[in-house]
Amino acid sequence: MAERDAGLVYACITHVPLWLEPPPWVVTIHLGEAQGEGRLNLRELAPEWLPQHPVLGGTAGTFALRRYVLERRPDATRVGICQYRKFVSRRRISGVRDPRYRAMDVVPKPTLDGDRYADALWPGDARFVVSKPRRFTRVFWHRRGYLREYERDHCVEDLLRFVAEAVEQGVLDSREVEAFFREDVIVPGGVELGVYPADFWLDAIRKIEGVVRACVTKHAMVRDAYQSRVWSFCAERLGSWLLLKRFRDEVGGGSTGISEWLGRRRWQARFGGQLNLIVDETHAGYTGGT
Amino acid sequence: MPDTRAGPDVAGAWSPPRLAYGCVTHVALEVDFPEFIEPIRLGAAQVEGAFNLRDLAPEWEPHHPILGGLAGTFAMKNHVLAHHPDADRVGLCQYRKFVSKRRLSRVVAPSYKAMDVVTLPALSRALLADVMVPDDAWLLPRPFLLSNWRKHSDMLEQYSRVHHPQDLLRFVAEAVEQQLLDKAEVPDLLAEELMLPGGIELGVFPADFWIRSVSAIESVVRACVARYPLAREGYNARAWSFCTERLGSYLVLRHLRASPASKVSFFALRRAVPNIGPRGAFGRLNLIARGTDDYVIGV
Repeated sequence: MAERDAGLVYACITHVPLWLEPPPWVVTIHLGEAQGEGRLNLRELAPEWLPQHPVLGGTAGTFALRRYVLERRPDATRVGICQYRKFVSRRRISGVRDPRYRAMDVVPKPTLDGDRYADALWPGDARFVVSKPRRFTRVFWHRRGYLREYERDHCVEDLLRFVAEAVEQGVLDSREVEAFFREDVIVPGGVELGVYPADFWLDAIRKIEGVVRACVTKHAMVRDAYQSRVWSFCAERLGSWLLLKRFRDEVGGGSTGISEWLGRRRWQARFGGQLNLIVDETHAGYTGGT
Repeated sequence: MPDTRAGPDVAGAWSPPRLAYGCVTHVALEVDFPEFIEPIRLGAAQVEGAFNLRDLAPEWEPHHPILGGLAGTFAMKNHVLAHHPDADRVGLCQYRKFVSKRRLSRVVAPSYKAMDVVTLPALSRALLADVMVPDDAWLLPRPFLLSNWRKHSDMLEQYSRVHHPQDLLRFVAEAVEQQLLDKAEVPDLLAEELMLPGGIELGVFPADFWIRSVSAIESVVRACVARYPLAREGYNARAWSFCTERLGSYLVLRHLRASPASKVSFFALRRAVPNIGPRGAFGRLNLIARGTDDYVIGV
C-alpha cells in the first residue's frame, strides 16, 4: 500500500519487542531496551532525549520521529504514529470497549493476524485520523475541564508550570490560559497517536518539544512510578488543545455549548477514528499510562 | 508607651495594647502617623538606628527592586518576631495607603475604585489613631468582585489581562509544592472572584494567622526568586508582589470563610457584600494624595 501514498510516514514507537509484525510501510522507532544495531533508535535520532526517556515515555519517541521526518523524509505530507499496543483505526474493529478507559476498544491479538493489522492501520486518504474525543464532564452541573481533571489524577503544579512555560514561549497566548484550563474535550493521545498533516504535526511537535525541554531543564524532579511521566501527560493536553484549535478553525464551531457540540460532530465525522488497544487473551482493563 | 509630651487630647500618646503596627515606606513619611506606628524603612529611606530592611531582613535587601513593598512586609514579620513577641495583632500600612475603620472621604480613586483618596491636610494624628485601630482582631479593606453584571472575571482572567499569567501559574505551583495550598484548591483559587486589595499587606490581622501566612508566602517567594530569575521591564518586574497579593487575599478569604463567624444570612444572596468575617472586619482602603494627582497602580 506504500506506493499508494509516498508522502505518508507511519511510525510505530516501542520500548519492547513488537507484538505484531507491522506492515512494510510502517517504520519502527525503538526506545529503551528495544534499541539495537541497525534499528531506528532513540539514542541515534534524538540523543538529547535519551536520559529523559523514563520521564517522557513514548513522547521521547515522538520527538525522535520528528527528527526522522526532518532528516530523512523531508517530502512527507502526512505523519502517522502508533504505539506498540495502541493505534487508531478509521473504523471500529472489535467493538469491545475497554472496561476502564471507555474511549478505547480492546482488540485481541489473533484478530489482527495477517493483513488485517495493515488494513486497520491504513489511513486511506484522510488528512487526519485521530481518536474519538472524550469529555471530562460527566454531570453537567460539575464541569471538569483540563485543570480539574489533571488536579484529580496527577500533580497539579506540573500542569501549572508546563502551561506557564507554554505561555512564556508563545505556544499559548496569555489570554488563552483560562480557556485551556476550562477546555473539556480531549483527544486521547493528542498529537501523538493517529495521522496528521506533516506541516501541522511538525509544527505542533516542535512547540511541544520546546516547552518540554524548558520544563525538564527548570524542574528536575522525581515522581513515583506512574506519576513519573509528568511531562508526557502535559504534552498530551497541549497536543490535544492544538488539535482542537485546528479542527475548530477548519469546521467552525465555538468552544462551548451547542456550537461546540455541532462543530465537534462535524470534525469527528471527518477525522474521528477509533483508538484500539491490542491485548492478549487475559486482559482485565487498561491501566492508564502504560 | 512613647511619651509625646503633648496634651491629653492627643491620641498619639495612647498605644493600643499588644498591637504591632508597621508602616512600610521607601520615602520620607509625609503623614504624621500616630506614635504606635513604626516605620519600616526600605531603599533610600533607610537611616541609621531606624527599623531598616537591611537590618531586619538583609536577605531581601537585594530583591527590593523586584519586590517593592513586599520586602518591607517580610522585614515587618522579622520585626514582630524580634521586638513584639507578645503581639496578638499585627497591622500594616504603606507610606500612602492605609485601611481605616470608616470612610474618610467620598472621593473614589478614579483608576482603582476600591480605594478612596484622602488629602494630607485632612489627616490628623488623632484621627488616624482612631480609625486605624480596629475594635476587633481584623481590619481589612473591603473586598471587591472581579466580575460584574456584564462580564465574568476571576483571578486568573484578571491576572492574565493585566500581567503575565505564567508568573501566577508558577507561583501557585510553588505554593502547592510547599503545601501552602492543597492541590484540590487550585481550580478554586484561580476561579476566585473576590479580591481583597493588598492581600495580607494592608490592614490589621491576628498575629498568629499573619505570621504563619507571611512566613509561608516568604518561603514561596524565596523559591520563585531562586528558580525564575525574571527580567521583566518596568511595572511587571514586580511579578512576585502581584502574585503575593492574590495569594494573600485568598488565604485571608479562606480563613474567614472557614471561621465560625461566617454564617449564611439573608444578605449572603447579595454577592457584592462579602458576608464573611467578624462584624466590623471590613473598612476602607485609603490613598493619601498631596493634591489632585491620580493613582497609578503598583506605585
